[in-house]
Amino acid sequence: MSGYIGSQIPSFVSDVTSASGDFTIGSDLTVNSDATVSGGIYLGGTGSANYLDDYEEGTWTPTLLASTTNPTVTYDTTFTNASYRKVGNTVFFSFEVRTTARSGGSGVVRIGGLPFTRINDYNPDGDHLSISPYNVTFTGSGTALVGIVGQNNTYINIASVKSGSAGADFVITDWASSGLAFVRGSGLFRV
Amino acid sequence: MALTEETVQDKIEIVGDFKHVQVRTATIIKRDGVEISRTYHRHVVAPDATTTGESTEVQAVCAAVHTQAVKDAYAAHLAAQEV
Repeated sequence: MSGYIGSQIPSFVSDVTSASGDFTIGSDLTVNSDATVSGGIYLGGTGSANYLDDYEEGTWTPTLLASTTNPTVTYDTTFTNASYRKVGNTVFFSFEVRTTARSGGSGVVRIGGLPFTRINDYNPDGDHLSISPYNVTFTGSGTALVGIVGQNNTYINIASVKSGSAGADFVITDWASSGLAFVRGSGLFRV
Repeated sequence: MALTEETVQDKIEIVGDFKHVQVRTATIIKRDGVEISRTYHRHVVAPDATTTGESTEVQAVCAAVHTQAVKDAYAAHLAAQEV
């Protein structure tokens, strides 16, 4: 079934079922309830750059890891949480990892548990994030933290930045072993 | 009126060069059998991850796709990364 709806939009008093083929609507369309689209939608044009094929939101569980050996961690589960919104091929995410104790571990700090796997390319349009820490020590002479989601990875590498250098390692022993410590962050990456 | 909650893994995907297994868990609330709420929680099982604690279905998928060759290639990929 196909057709063209011009200036007059008919009122469907019941569900339209068993419809196939294309409809072209030549005027505004108002939907007063939910719309379910099995495929994608084109916004502002009909090119592939206008195509939106997916939207989803949900939660994920962030974990404190390290690149060589993972630490043993006691989480403050009240505040350790994370969310995501996937729009097309881009995942927007935020998280907080809050601990009350950390023992052991070696290597640079990582946050694990990302809800999707980052795409495998070197295009930097969306693999960095901002980090806000509490009760960490910058033993590597850094002054702030940044996060990077590497290609084909499902975790965030955290590094410290400093003046006049490419950066410094932020290692797991820089994370407080007792008392409250946390990082909050938000960013995006492509899938 | 009866409210029920059920949790299902409604999407298990194999993605990328190293066969990451992406798992979406849906929590569904129903009133008298009619769905009124659905929320999602996601996690990913990488080739080097332990599958202990995963569902039987996810473990089976991981066992099938995370071959030793895939694990070795992923380990080499990680070692080659700058950070």
